[in-house]
Amino acid sequence: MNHANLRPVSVIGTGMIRFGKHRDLTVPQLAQPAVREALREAGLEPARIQAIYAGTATSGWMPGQRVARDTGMSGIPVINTENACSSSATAFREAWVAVAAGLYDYVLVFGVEQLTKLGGGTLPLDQDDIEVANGMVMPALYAMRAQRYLHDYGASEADLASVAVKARRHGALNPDAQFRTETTVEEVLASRRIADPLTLLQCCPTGDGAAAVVICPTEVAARHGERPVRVLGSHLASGRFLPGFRDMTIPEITQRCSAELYEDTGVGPEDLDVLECHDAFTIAELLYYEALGLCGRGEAVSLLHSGATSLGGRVPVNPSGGLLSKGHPVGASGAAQIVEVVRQLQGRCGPRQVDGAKVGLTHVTGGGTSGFDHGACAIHLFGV
Amino acid sequence: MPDSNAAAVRMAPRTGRQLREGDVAWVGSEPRLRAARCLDCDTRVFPAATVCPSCNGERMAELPLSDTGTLYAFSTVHIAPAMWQTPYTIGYVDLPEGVRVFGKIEPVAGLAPDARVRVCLEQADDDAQAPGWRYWFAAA
Ligand SMILES: [Zn+2]
Repeated sequence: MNHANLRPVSVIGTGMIRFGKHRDLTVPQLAQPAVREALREAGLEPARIQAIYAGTATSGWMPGQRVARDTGMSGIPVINTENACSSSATAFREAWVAVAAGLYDYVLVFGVEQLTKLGGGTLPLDQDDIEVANGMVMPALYAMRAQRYLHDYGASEADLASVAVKARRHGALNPDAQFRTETTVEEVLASRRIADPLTLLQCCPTGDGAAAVVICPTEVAARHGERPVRVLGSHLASGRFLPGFRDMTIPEITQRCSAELYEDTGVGPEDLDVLECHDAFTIAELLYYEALGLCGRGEAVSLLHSGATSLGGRVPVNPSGGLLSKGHPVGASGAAQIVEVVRQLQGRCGPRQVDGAKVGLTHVTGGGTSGFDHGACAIHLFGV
Repeated sequence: MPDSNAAAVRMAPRTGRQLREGDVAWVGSEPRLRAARCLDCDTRVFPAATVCPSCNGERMAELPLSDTGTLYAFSTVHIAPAMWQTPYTIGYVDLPEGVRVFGKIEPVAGLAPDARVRVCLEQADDDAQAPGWRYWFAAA
């Protein structure tokens, strides 16, 4: 891709609400506090915002306009994006493109989702998909990846559970996390069976939430907000149709998306100080260590047990608690990851702060559709 | 395994993309899953398509699939939308024609990845307007 004519872009404001079960609120009520916090951090009146990019998967028509109406920003262009779990990360990318291209200077991005109104359980999928019509549910897709990974690399169910233990240890330090208590390998393995070998505590919870960021050209960022964070790169990939005997332990779309982003930016996995990845299920985090280049094939379990990806380690992964502990209100997750990494790079994360973090990455994917690893994947790089 | 699990194998709700007459090929008097092969790029797809998803070509030939294959991975599902009777077992089966098919599996003790399984097909005539087929996998 040609980036030569793009302006550098920075994040100048972040906001989010604590993820959890907020059944009594409406979608605009969920988003409003996050949006207002992001504007406040940026030091901007709503009238300065020139466009809104909203990401959500299940919030119905015109979610962005409904939020704009309630926050003093109605009338400006609103772009609503749906890309399953990558919805608000896709919104962020489109916003970045618009600001980098010079179309707008001040843009708001937010993600919102209210999963409790769907009644809990597994996410509703497209019944016209041949796999869904024959019983596919998202936990089972990850469960089969887990089974095959255990089979091919000799990992154990306790290894999988250790991912959840790490997530909950980190989440316990995050006031915005849905789960704020620690757990043990024994407790994870003894929790209710969802899709073998995955148990309840190995699956992200049903929850509601919202997160927001404000971006602008880097050249004016210093005038707004306390510590602007540069967007070093933004990349979006879509599922590639792969018929035949695909190795399901290789998250193809993540591998491809990250390789292209690393090539575009000159930043490599060895440069990362902190990252948030799409740990919707325990196995996912292990597969993404490998796909994002943190370690080689089959090395994810040793990387986890080495402590390198825990707080205090070489490259902490999901210091926020990740989807497993912070929660996964689908369309809000991409924006919430960006909020976490930006605040990490600003040194504002208190007991879960990654010391001296200078470069961070967010990764979100998802969208179960037959023939694809996943439907969408968005990866962003940030730096100070 | 409980009996309810074996029953759940056949209990596919009649919603969404079920197999229709055109999804079944006949090898002699034997019904087989019917895939398609692209004569231009050799992509193989199940269910059969009239346009190749890889190259957009229209020269697709019928490809009846073998009735035995290798189990790639599977999972027993305990939580699913209300229309499903749980638990049930689903998985991916690799067939010799180079096609991976997803479906329900009759659970047996000791089932493991790389096990040999056979394809089961039966007519589902509970919808007189649109008679169809059910398929699932069982230990070979
Ligand atoms: Zn073709």
